[in-house]
Order: sequence, then C-alpha cells, then structure tokens
Amino acid sequence: MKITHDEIRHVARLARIEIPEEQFDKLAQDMESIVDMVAQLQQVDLSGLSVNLAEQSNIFREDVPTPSMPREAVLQNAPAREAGCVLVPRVMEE
Amino acid sequence: MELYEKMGYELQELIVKKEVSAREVTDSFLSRIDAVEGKVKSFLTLLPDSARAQADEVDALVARGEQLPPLAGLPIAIKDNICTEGVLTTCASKMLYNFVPPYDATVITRMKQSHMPILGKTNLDEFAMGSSCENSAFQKTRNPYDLNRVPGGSSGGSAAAVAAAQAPFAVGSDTGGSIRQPACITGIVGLKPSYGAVSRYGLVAFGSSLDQIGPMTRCVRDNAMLFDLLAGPDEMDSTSARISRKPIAPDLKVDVKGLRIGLPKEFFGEGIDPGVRACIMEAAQQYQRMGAQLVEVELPFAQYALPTYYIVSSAEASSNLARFDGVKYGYRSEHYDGLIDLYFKSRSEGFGPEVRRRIMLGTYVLASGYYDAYYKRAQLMRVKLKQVYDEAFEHCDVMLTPASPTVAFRLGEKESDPLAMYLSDICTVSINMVELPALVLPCGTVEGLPMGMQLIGRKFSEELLYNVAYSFEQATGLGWTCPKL
Repeated sequence: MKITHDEIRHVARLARIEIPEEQFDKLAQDMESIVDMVAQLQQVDLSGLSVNLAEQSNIFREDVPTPSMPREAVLQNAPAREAGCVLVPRVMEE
Repeated sequence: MELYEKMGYELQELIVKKEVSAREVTDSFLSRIDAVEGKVKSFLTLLPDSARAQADEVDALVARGEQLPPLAGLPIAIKDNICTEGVLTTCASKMLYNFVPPYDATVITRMKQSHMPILGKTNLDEFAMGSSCENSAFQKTRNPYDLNRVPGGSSGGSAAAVAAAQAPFAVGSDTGGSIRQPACITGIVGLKPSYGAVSRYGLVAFGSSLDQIGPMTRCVRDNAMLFDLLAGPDEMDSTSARISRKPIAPDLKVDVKGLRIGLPKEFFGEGIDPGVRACIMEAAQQYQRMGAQLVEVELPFAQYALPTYYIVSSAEASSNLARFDGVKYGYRSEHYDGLIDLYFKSRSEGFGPEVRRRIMLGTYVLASGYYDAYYKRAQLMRVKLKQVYDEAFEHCDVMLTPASPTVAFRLGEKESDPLAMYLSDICTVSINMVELPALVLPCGTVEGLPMGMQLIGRKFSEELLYNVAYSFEQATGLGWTCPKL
C-alpha cells in the first residue's frame, strides 16, 4: 500500500517526532513493506468474534496510606528543575 | 575446572558446604568478565564493588551459621530495561542515557532479598525492539561462539553473558521472543513465563499486554531455581496472577512416558532453515525413544501471528513511549523553541531509527481512519489465535517447535531490512499473543553453531515444561559448553 509524504507528515506530527524531509522516501518505503505485511489480516474472516475481556477483572488493593517517594528522589532525573519543581518552557502563550 | 564453568546449583552447594566462599564465586565471574568482555561486549554497566559487598554479606551469614535464602551468593546479570535503584537503567537508548531509577523492579527486590550479587546491566536492542542487539545506541554485543555473529535479541547481552560464562544467571524480557530467540542461538536455557507469572513492576514497558521478565541460564535446573524466585503475585503489578505454586526446582523429574508432544506443522514450513528443522525433528525423535508420543497438530491462522504481533506491539509501544518527552527524566534537547518543540526535538534526537519506526507504525495503526482496519482486527485475531491454541492443546500436552528459523546470523546481515529482521521472530511471537509459557533449551548444533528448541505449554504449566526439558537434558547430555574466547 502506498504511503504518501502527507501521511508520514501527519503521523509524525501525532507522534511528536520530527522526520527530516530527506528521510521521507526511505521511511515511507519501510512503512509500506511493514503495512503490507500487517495488511494480510484484512483478508481473514473474523466475523463472529468479539474482543472478550470477561476473563480479566480489576484487581484492587487495600486503600491504606503509605509514604510517597521523597520529592528529591523523584526530581533527581529531571533535566532541569527549580524550587522543587520540574522546569519547562512557558506553556501558556502570552 | 574454573568456578565460572560450574552450574549455579553446583556453586550453591559449594557455598552451603563452605567449600567455597560466595566472594570466591563472585570474584571468579568478575575475572571472567575482565578476560572476555572486550570481545563479547555483553554489559553496559558493571557493578563489581556492590557485587562483592553482597557476596561478603552471604559469607557473613555462612560464618554465623544462618540459614541462607535460595540462590544466596549466586551472581546475576540484569537486562538494562529493568529498573535498579541508584544504578543506570538506559534501555540502550540515548533517551535514557542518564536515567538512574529511584526504585527497584520487583524482580530486583527479590534478588536482593536473596542476596544475589548483581554483576551488571546487560546490552539490548533499544527499548527491547530488535532481534540482534544491533539496535543498541551504545555497542554491539557478539555471539560468544562466533564473534562475527549476533547473539540475537533483544536480550542479547544477557544471553551472551550467560553463554560466555560471565554470569551463571541472567534475566531478560520477552515481548515477542526477546528471551527465547537469543537463548536459542547462543545455546542456553530461557523461559518466557505465562503472562502474569512474573511481576512486570519496574520493567520499562514496551508492549504491556505481551511483556514478561524471565530467567536465562546454562541448564534447566538453574532456570527453574531462578523462576521459583521471580514468580509469584505482586500487588505492584495488577496483571500479575494471584496464584500460589510450590517450588519447581527441588522436584524436577525425568519422565516423559505417555506424554503427548504436539508438532504444529505450521512451525516447520517455509522460512525455517532445513538444518534447523532436522535438528528439531531429531529432538522430537529422541523424546519418542524416551516414551513420549508424537502428535501432529494444526494451528490454523498461525501465519497471521506476525502481522498481528506487529500491530499490537507497535500500538502499545507508541502509547508507552509517549512518556519520553524530555520533561521529567531522560534526554532533553539543548535547542528548542517552546514546549511543543521541546517534545519534538527531544524525542527525535533521543530515539534511534527502529524505535522511531515502531512509534510511527503504532501511531499509524491507532490513527483515526485506520483503527478498525488494523488495531481492532488485530485484537480479534488475537482472540482467534487463543482459540486455535486451546483446540490444539486438546490433542497434546506440550508442543515442540523451532525457536529461531536460522542459526545466529552475521552482524550487519539484516540491519538495513526491517522486515527480514522481523522474520527472525516468526517462531516466537504468537506465544506472547496467547499468553502461554514457552521454554527454549539447547538441542544440538547446526553448521557448528548452537541451536535450541522451543517447548510450549498451557497457561501456567511451567512445571511440566521444566520437567520435559529436564528429561531431555538428562537423557542426551546436550547443553551448554564453555566457548573458547
């Protein structure tokens, strides 16, 4: 199945991944061969089946308060932080 | 014979009988690592100091005459997508090049409670996506039996470490074959447990409905010992099975009389190397000579397992990997213009080509307009495959199949063709789709290279799988041999 540059651009935007224009052809080609492979599923008659989740059920634990991880331990991996918070660029536009 | 050549259960006996100290055992593996790591490149991080300290604690327990927990003093290597408190956990990705988890995975907690010295963190394909370890952002691990060949993947570092006698025990993770395919082509024993048998808490998620952590060792008994330690319910993982079971390793039996071994013909057809097929059939005949009954079984729709797998696993991966955004941990790009651009730049620079490809595929099959055609159909096919396996297990007790379609391939051979690489998993992916346990063990050599076979069981039938594997190992004497490095 043909995958267009527009589709690559659209999917990349959804996935928050930048693809340089010069890689579009190779990626489209790779995606086409993979999509052709997975498209085999469309030839199969799967009528009468339903995704049955009955055998799975929610598992709850007792609602007992326990200490959270210390703030410092959680923040130690943040690429930038300030005043006990993760630092990010301005979120709201002015 | 060097200590590092001995099996884990033999080392345990030596430690308990005070013939060898735990420190000597750990030192033996650390010096083996020093000697061969330059060639094999199994490890991303080595932890000699903390491993020795853990061994010393075991020796202190022995000196005080205290009862040792199971596997005490037996060293282990950990795939680098399993979180270890205070120790780098990179997933072999630039995205997590500096990530130091503030907590331990449940399997790590259990190892520490048992005083197992952790030797280091092993290499993998980035985020466990790959079948050769070549997708690592940091290094390419080699097959210890031929350094020009791959160790398989994605748990190739753990497989190579065990095969090269750098560690008697290792853990890997298996989403579509990542424990079994490398175990198969490095000639060791590896188990993909039933979904839910081992806690996934602290395993960096790839395909959450498929992922399992499992043991990798040089013999069946060691494998069962480690499984006994790792398996069991965990309240930190709501998908872990609430079942209790008795330990398997102490009661391993040699007995396959009357056992019905299914040979699914779909696993022996096109794409399987004739030498591999002959090797697996020879193992089947061995079982027959031991009193088992061979039964041909059918797995219709098996040819759709691979496409189904790539839809489900990529869709789950694209969701799971959305958390890597350059904000809370991991890589953040140095140059960006605003918050949205920070996401774009950090993700594009942090993920390697295969991970980007799978995120793209996963996003594509989940995108509006394609969801019904791909993802929903894949979910239905998964239900169908479960029915197919259930029906086949009405005619047999276990199934015997190849675990890899070929022997270990050469580095670079499949690197530029993603589809050819995906076909390496053709024998293994369906098992994750249907949540069953599967064990790989050595069954000979093909073209002078190690080859293993796969035993598949009903859900939670690990005990039977271990007994069937143990019976073969004991009867044939086939198994791990120390590579010349």
